[in-house]
Amino acid sequence: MAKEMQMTTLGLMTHGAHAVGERFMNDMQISMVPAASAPLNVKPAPRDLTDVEVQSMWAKHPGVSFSDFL
Amino acid sequence: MTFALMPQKWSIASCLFPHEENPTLPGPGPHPVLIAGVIPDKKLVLAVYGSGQTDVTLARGALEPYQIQITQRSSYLHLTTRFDFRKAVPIEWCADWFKPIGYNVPIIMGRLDQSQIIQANRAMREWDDRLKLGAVPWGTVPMIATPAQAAQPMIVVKKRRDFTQPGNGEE
Repeated sequence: MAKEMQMTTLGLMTHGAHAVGERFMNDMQISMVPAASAPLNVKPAPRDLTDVEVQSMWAKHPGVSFSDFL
Repeated sequence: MTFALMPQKWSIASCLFPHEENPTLPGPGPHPVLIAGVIPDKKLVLAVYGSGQTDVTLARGALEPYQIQITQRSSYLHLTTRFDFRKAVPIEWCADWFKPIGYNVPIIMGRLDQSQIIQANRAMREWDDRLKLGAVPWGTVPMIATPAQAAQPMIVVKKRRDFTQPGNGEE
């Protein structure tokens, strides 16, 4: 009985360890994908900026022009 | 506390969308922006927000000379995204505006490749030429504003029509 239990435990341990290990590796593979090479779940803005918004954002930085960034 | 190093020109970063009522403040997001220029001493970047999903469909119309379209396959974007230089805005490079889209994701997500940079440079110069011809009143001649005016929040209040007054009814 003790021997059977030992064998079962051993079997469960090896099988369980394998399953856990496999799952762990799968998880690791997902998390190890470099962020820069994966298409990220970052969606474009919900709408375009309006002219009023663009104008007010430029007005916040007087003296700065588009050409300054060329 | 110092924020992340300034991005290189033509990086793609994650940035909050302007607040709806006061666009000079950060609102919801973050969304991808193309960094079209950097002024390091002022800690300013020129950010071009990617157009929304419906804007990138071909049905929307042909690409204007001052727009570029980046396919998701060739970049770090989730969807093919159109960047319109007409809507480029200066934003402070700071933690208030630039936030990562998730845990362990860098704020600067990637950079255009060489062929995309050539297209982007062409589109940016095209819009600069149009600005010099007076396409829009902002972003060209430095806008004259006192510090008090610049600090003044711009709040757009939609005035509701008062139907109780004569002459304000529907036509």
